[in-house]
Amino acid sequence: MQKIDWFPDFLGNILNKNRTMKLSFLLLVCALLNVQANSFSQNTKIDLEVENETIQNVLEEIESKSNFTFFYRSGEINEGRTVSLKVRNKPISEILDLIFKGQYVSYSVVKNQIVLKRGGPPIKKIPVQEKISNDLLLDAKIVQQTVTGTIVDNQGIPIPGANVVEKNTTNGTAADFDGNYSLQISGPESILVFTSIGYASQEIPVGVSTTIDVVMREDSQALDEVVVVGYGTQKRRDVTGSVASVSTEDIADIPMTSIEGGIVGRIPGLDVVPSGAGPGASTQIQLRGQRSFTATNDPLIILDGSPYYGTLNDINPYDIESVDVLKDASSTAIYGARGANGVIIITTKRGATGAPRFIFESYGGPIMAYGTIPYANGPQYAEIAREAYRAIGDYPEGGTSAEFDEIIFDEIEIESLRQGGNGLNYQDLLYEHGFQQKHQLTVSGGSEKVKYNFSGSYFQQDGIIPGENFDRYSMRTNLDFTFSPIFSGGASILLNHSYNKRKSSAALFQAFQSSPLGKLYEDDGTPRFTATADGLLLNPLADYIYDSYRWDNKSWGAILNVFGEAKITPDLTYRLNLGTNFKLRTIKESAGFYSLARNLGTATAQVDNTVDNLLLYESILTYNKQFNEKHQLTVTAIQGVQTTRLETSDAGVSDLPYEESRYHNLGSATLVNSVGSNLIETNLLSYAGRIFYGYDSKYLLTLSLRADGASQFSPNHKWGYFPSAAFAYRISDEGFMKSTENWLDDLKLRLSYGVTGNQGISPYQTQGGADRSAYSWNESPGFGYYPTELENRNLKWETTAVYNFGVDFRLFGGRLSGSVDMYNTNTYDLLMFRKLPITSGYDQVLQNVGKTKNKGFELSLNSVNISTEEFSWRTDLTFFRNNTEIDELYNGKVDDIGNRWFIGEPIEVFYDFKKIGIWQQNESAEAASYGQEPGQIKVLDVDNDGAITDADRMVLGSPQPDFVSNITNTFNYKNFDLSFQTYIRWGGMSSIGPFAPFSKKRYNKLVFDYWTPTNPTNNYPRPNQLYEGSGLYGSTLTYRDASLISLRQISLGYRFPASLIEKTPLSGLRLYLSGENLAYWTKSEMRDFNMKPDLTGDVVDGTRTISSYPATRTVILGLNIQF
Amino acid sequence: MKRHINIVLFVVITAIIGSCSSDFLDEEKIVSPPINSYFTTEKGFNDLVNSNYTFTRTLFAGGNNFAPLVFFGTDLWTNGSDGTFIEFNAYNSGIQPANPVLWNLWSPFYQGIAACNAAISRAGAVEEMPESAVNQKVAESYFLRAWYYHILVMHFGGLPLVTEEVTDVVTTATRASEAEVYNQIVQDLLFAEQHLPDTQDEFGRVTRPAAQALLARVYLTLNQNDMAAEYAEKVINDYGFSLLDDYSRLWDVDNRVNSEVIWSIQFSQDERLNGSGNAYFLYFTPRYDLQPGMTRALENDRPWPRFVATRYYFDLLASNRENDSRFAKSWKTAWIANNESTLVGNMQIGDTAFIYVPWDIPDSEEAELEQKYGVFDINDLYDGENPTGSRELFPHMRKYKDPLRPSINSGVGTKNVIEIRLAEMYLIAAEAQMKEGNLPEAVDHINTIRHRAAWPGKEVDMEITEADLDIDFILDERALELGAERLRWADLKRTGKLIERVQLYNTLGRDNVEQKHLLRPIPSNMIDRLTNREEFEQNPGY
Repeated sequence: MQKIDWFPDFLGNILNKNRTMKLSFLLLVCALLNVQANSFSQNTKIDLEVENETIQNVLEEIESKSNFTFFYRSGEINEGRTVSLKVRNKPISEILDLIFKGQYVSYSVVKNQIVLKRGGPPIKKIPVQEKISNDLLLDAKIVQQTVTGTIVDNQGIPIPGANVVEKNTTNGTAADFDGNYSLQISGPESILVFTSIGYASQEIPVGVSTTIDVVMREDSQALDEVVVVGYGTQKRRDVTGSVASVSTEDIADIPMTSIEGGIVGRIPGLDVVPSGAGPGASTQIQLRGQRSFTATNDPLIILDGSPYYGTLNDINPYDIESVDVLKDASSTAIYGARGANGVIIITTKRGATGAPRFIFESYGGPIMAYGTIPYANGPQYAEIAREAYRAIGDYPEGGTSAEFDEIIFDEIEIESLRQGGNGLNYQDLLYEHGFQQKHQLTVSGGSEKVKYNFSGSYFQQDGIIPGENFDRYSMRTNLDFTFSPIFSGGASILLNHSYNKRKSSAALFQAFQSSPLGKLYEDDGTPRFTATADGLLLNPLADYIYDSYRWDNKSWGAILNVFGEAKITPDLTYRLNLGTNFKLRTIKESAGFYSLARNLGTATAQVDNTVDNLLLYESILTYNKQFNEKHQLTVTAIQGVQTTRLETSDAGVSDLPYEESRYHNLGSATLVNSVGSNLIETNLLSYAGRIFYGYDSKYLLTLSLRADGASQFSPNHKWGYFPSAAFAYRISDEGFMKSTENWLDDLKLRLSYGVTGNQGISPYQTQGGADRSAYSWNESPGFGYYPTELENRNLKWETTAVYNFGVDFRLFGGRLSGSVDMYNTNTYDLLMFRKLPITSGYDQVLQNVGKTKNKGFELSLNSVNISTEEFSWRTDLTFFRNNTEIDELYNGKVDDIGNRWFIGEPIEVFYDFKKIGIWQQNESAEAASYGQEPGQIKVLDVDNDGAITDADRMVLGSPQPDFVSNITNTFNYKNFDLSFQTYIRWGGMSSIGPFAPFSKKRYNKLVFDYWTPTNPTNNYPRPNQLYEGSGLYGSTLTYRDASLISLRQISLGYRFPASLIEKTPLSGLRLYLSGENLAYWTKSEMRDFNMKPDLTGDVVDGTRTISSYPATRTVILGLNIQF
Repeated sequence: MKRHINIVLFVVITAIIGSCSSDFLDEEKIVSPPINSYFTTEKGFNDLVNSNYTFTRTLFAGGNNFAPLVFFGTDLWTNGSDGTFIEFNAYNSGIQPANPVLWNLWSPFYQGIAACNAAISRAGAVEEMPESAVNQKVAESYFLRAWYYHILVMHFGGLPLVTEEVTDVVTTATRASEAEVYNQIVQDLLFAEQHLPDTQDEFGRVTRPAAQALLARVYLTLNQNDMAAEYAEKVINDYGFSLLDDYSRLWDVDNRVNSEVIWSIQFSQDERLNGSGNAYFLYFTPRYDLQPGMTRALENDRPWPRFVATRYYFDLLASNRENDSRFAKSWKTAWIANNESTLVGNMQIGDTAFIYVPWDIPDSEEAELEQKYGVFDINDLYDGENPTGSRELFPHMRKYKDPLRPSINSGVGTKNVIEIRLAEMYLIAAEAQMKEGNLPEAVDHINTIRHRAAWPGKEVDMEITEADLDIDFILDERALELGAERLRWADLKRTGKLIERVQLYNTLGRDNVEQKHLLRPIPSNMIDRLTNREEFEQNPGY
């Protein structure tokens, strides 16, 4: 029986990258031979007891007990011959001698593989370290010198399996589990090349040394790095699409509260924007901009092989082994209908053979408000109020008047004015220092049969507003089993529980709004609910004082993925993935009579429950073969089924008799405000295939096709087909590039085209539907049903086609590397709610109409500026720009002003009048012609028709930045490491909407330079008591250039040297100090307001405004212990 | 071999797991009824007709929907301290097709019309009911469709006339003439009149007299005065409606079912039934909470001063207050101290804190009263024709007062709105008879109204004679009786008096109002969505 038996390299266990690489190397040599290989270990001594077993079985037995792998050509040895032997604690050489005693079989041990070959004299012992020649014959060399040493990483941790090769020969070996190696070399002139996946290779002349210890530096850009592509892995060298990766090494030293913190700025094209602030706030991730109006713009997240639709907050960032981001359509087309927004593949850490290894990680530190937002103090507020009345002639011009103060201020405000001083600063009263901490223990290890990686962690965050917390508990278990040489399997189990709570609904809002002339307590100490006599200016601390508000958001998640794998033939592997993703969320809110939310209304309570479940099945068949040394063929076929089921239920009540019951006794309430439940199900059925062909790693071609059927779409359009093609050309391997080989290590050109889809719409949209209507007959229920959705039999996928051109390069021995990508994306058949003439009764119908275009440029550069034994300096830079344009809407090239959609503009824009100043007194006649007066906002009369009409509004800008760039500098000096990350988001527009100045005396406002008859500024209009909100054209005051440069992260670490800890049980100890968002600069004056323009969370009227949550900075002190 | 068998088994089993039945991609929505079969049942059809009522509430859902159109820009109301939608008062360039107020009326009304059309188109397919029962039910839909179209046609003129359920994507529309729209309205109402019952078990459903009352209104608009009088008098005489003795009881929340209501739009204290609620209580409420001794209280409503009576209206209300009780019975002028912390002088909780009155109090008397509480007479409240200062002080028009809301600051009101009541029928009959030349009948109708309005013993003083009667008198009487009941703008337009009266009494709009303002612009959201927008006519001047 002859077989080839190995893991196809892109399906191999990525943690065992060494073996994968070596196998590929060997495969080049052993092309067209049927050889056998299995796993093993070098200096292991073996116990073996066999009775009349075939040699084949004996070899397998050895493989299973050791780390050795046997290779032999079919027919070269008589594997059917039976032997009996009984040995205890013998080295492999002795055992082989016994097995092949008297046979014409020779063997050589190269690194960790044992090659068996017929020929030569009957078996005799040959030195273990051997050179392998191209014809695979055993060219034993005369041993002249032996070099030994230890290979460790920069943390002093051994690198098992690191390779040592004598330069320009194939003589080499691999380090054992403790990082030790021993290699016989040809002489003192030899140069040893040390390599390992994820580390920069090193060349060290041997000279007369007999001991060479090596510290390997991490190198994420190593060409032989393995990246996770859809349904498999691939060598970075062979990748044809646009795939960017962040590995655990890249972010190992960065304290992260969530994954986003680790990837922000590291993946060109990936924009991470906070969608809120405070503990537990989530983020929005966009890859290469927006392209969809109705369907989601969120990338597909694949967590350990199965789609993940939860919040990234629930994943512990320290469990992440790697994050691979598939950007162009040729990479994402294998995900078909879900791939249009890019794919983020998150792989968690898995176990490795060896003794248990423990890592304990712990950090903690304060969260601080960046400053207080400069709201008017008491005297400033009073002066603005007086000016508002002066504007309507109800207050004397110039100076103050006690008589008129009595009229415009209420008793409390008068008293406060009488007392003098600055009044109340509610922000100071409200803000406190928050705190965050995190503790995690990870254990990993395993035997040849079972490998495990387990971690448990606790993360806690207290915000800068009292009562805001986020707690996360998570537990992860990854298991890998090798059942037999044919069958293997594994499981990933992720359990998490998060708990997010608040004790006030609107403290911050009221702190900004309430009059600083208010009063929080009566003189006798009883609390006041309102700050002044005004019923809407509340005591910002009321929720705390009366303990009247609770908001609790708890979620429990379980993600379980299991896989089984069978090697049907040595070339053909079948893999089965089964996954389930379960999430239970319950959100509860209670608001008492004295709560800001209820403002003296009856107590209410609300409970919302959600049960979310996903089931996944996938069959993956992979054929991987190398022909004639140069032809590499990998064929992948996939069948998949995915179902989701979302069940919700909710109840809301009011008039609770006993408020302290919070939300725990809804039944006691007098009134039921709402009761509901719902069920939403979707099914997805998929078939996909992919062919990768590589010629000599020089010409690389990937073709893929996926067919997806989704239940959401109409019966005639359930199925969509998504093809892609990508071609890469390693030009640096061409003969004509010979002259550049001194400085150009690698240059690869990539060109790809692919089509992907977007099915991200709610189900049931094709069917038409009826909604419940509410009415009453003198308090009796008068519910009804009426048609609310038109049947839409033609609904299908949204389709995105992407051209991508990219260049990967590596220069100067790896000192400078990077890649450049340019893309052109066209999205068509956009799922868009086509607005209908309302006379049909339907406001809109979901249709496949409209087109958008995305163009962009992405650059990533990695430079090792200085690299010496003691000091290194590395700079990583990413840069990207993306431009989204609406190309066509449902009516063709016609703007939809109602939705703020304009042809040729990005999807989100700010559309408003343009402020050009303030009407000045010498312009009063002109102002009057517009029905305005001096002191009011002057806006541009775009069409010059002498009137300000809707037609004078224009597109002012969009939140889309001109470019985003991130520069990370990392320094290592002896045991110190220092890194700082500078984040630049340039251009784009933001709105300070929540902080727009109020026109009238009532709500407090930011201190702006406002117009008065004696202060003829063009900045802000005169306060005016006659206008609600921010007054006539007040929204024009809110737009700002959002350009931002921030020092996102600085971290300083110290790794205790081995000499200090070698007497302890520890194998590593690192202390670090890290600060986030310590400083930032904005192009507009937002920094003066302590506002960061990239807090673009609240979506108002189709545009975004900054969050009203103040910017925060954090500092943490952390500890990493390994033992 | 065993190994191969294992592999084969493994693959076969997992392939079976992964294989899917042919209906795997079929979608079943079980959470709501399939519309095509459900509406053929009695229950389903009843639900469909119920839904037709829901959209009547949209007029009251907030201040951005209807109120600026019917209060602003008339002789009775001007803007308070809240300056939003002031353009409808000023008749300035802010009346743009894109103005949200227009869309907020147009859009829900056409959705209401579509819901009515769904019931009307599906009536023939109802299986479980006899034809007469179906007709009686669907007559409600005919009534409501007419009501929706009538309000739209008064404001916008000729309309896209849709009378059947739309089942396919339609992207075009054309405007029918005003006459065609009115013709449809009359036909719908005649159907409703024929099939509706005289009374309904469920209060709030439309009835035969409601259809006749609306017909009277429509005929009056069409200047078909004989028909208007005939229908108004049918309602007056045939169904046992009667004027309440006490005008003030019309506005009491505990008296929502009464003998004067012909049709009222229903709101509810049950949040599940109340939708967005009725927000009108907000907009007529002064900032009473700023006065000494006062704080916000549920019984005083939440202040949001948007609509303030014009000087003309207050003068009209005050001029005959000795005889006419209607000002006193629908306006609140005195507030009771309720805030210990801001009491002044000798004032105690429960004492009168202040009064706002729209007439002159002689200075000597005022000084005496001010010993006890705050006094604001017309000279304090008005500076000539305009409200003073920040326009926050004025008597409180209490027809929308809503003390049953869930909390002081809740904006979701619960109060029913009387859409058609008997007194209006008398006024329609009087106006129609007057125009027909039947002055004695007209005077009788007016005096019926004025008798009820009189203070006890003052009935005779309230009576009028034929000499008093002209269209201005009718309009003034309607202002006294129906002021704030959302009819004013259309009344002025109908009688050709809009421009004249705005020029006379509305200080903000008087210089700007012109002929084009008799129609509102068609909302741009309507036109922008059309594929035949070039053919679709905007109203002139916009």
